[in-house]
Amino acid sequence: MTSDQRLQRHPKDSFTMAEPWPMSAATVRAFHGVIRALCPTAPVVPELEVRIEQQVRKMMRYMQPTIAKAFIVALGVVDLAPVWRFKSLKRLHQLPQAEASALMSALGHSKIAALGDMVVGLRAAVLGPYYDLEEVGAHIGWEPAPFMRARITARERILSGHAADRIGPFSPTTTTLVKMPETRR
Amino acid sequence: MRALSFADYQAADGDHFQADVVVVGTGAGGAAAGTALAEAGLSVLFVEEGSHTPTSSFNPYMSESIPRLYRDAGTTAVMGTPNIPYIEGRAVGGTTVINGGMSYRAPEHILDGWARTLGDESLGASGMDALFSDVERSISASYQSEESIGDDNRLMYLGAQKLGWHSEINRRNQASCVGANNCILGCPTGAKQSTLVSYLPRAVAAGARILSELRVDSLIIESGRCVGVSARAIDPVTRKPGRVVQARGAAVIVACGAVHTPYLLLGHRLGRPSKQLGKHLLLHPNAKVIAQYPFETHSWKGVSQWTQVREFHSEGILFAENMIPPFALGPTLPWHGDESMAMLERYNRLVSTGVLVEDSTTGRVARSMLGMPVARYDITDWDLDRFVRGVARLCELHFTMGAEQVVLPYRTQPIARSMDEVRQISARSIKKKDLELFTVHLMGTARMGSRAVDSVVDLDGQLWDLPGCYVADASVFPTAIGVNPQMTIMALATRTGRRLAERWSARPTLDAAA
Repeated sequence: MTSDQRLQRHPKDSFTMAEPWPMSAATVRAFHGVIRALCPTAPVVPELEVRIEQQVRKMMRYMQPTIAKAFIVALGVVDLAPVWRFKSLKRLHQLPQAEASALMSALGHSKIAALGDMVVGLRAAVLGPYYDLEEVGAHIGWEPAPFMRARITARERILSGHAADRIGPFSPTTTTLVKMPETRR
Repeated sequence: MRALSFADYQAADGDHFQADVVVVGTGAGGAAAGTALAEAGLSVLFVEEGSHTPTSSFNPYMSESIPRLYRDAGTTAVMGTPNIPYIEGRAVGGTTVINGGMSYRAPEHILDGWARTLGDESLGASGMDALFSDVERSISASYQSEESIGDDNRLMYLGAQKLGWHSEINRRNQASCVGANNCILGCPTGAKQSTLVSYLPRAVAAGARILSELRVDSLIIESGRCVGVSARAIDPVTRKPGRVVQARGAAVIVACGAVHTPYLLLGHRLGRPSKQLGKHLLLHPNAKVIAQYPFETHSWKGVSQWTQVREFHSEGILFAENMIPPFALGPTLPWHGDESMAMLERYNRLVSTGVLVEDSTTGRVARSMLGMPVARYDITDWDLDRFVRGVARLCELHFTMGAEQVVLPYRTQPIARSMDEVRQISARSIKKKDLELFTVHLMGTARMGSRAVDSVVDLDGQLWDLPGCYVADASVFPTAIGVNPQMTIMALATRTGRRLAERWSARPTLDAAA
């Protein structure tokens, strides 16, 4: 693999990614509702629900089957939350985004610890892949590949006996704050 | 370096392998023990559940890196109050592929304590010195060069200096690290000297073979001796266990970590003399404090954990910088939706740090009916008190350096905008269940000892009640060590490997291992 091909999202190194965990159409609808409830409304990301759903379903293959099955159950419980909380006859995936998001917050602050933990788990499952998306990374100023390519080059320079760039400082404030101690080797 | 994988086990003769010694696991313990054996001239088979991912395949994205490198795609947790998520590697190289690379020796007083209580001077600081030196050379444990250090570490170091706190520059297992800061998804520059690029290539050069993508289900026990392992090849598409593969040897070294080592051994009802197998789980838990500064820090640029603040080490409290990527930070914050994005939009002004607290209690690992290990650990009142004090002090450092606000590890009080707000929080106002903890240092569930009545393995790492079966990972730690365990695991595993090789050369028969 040449240095230009490094840092690919799906490196061609013979690793086979598992197929998505099977889900019924109803569970997929519930999952899309949870994704809409948990993800920020901006930036607008094309096919957001499908991309996150597919990613999570692939990751479920690598989990303990019991945990993956518990995730499916959690989706069902949360989707029905408006009903069992006597707030609405609609399911979560049928609610407007803001209402669904508020409901997830309420569940997260529930006095029933298991419900709070369930929201923490769902949040982790959805927001992990969400903040991993290129569009979202660019929106928040996190674009690691160019930086890492530059560091790979920097290391090659060091190994061939040359000097390499330092990292930062990134603001005048930091410059005045920073006085590096003598680095020990 | 080549590792056999799923397709190789489908061949007619792909279901059985033979060597002098079988090593289960290729992380810090397994790789170090196996390398010692291979370089002593024994034939070694490593059996690894994860896949072989070379340095050229590492990237900064979680979408494929987490499934291929992390056990259970990172969904592992210790149950208790609070529940504590933990991570372990599942790849050739084990957790060393995804750890932060801290290279600390166990403190002298801890090692001398082990020597005294176990009655073996070779476990003391002076007795272990040569082993640690050997490990340090093997993984290139050294101080970072200035080219690799980013602004978040500088802030942390200078903050401690301003407050008059003692901080120490860490040694890390790195060779010309340039601060790409992708340690947790595999080092893309090859600088981090995980066992993938340090021990294992040496072992393979000495003739060892690596069987990857094999999940060990059970030990093979014949005539009261351990003579191999039975594993299942994992189908990469369905992740379901397929063909049964046996790896046989005169001895087996189990190095699956402090959760899966007891899980495997408990399946055979081992550890009977002391009934201690699975007990004494140590976690070295930590809590995150994320500070928002009024200027850009780009904390994801530059090495992770250049320093540790050790001013409060006598209380069992350490502080460390540990910047994490957005896909890991976002889910750990107590918000979602636009609130979550509002914080992540400041990502380049955030500095993520942690409070590590030395264990004051222990937990346990058991086999559940669900076909998976269940770990249980409840923090003590003293732990809660130390976390609250540690978090307050770490906040003091950040506010001293000009932070605008800090995100606290408390579900009920997630934000503080000044030290006055932090001081209003006490151990009495925070419930244990509302503390958000995390760990990567699991230890102590198959502890080493000099007597069968109170330990699981003997001073050579061999199970008291199963000749030929050894343990070489953090499970064997007799007590907590209070620092990052990687080097201590490697040193003890090297010791176990060398002692087994010595016995082998004295009696080169199957009995030598027992």
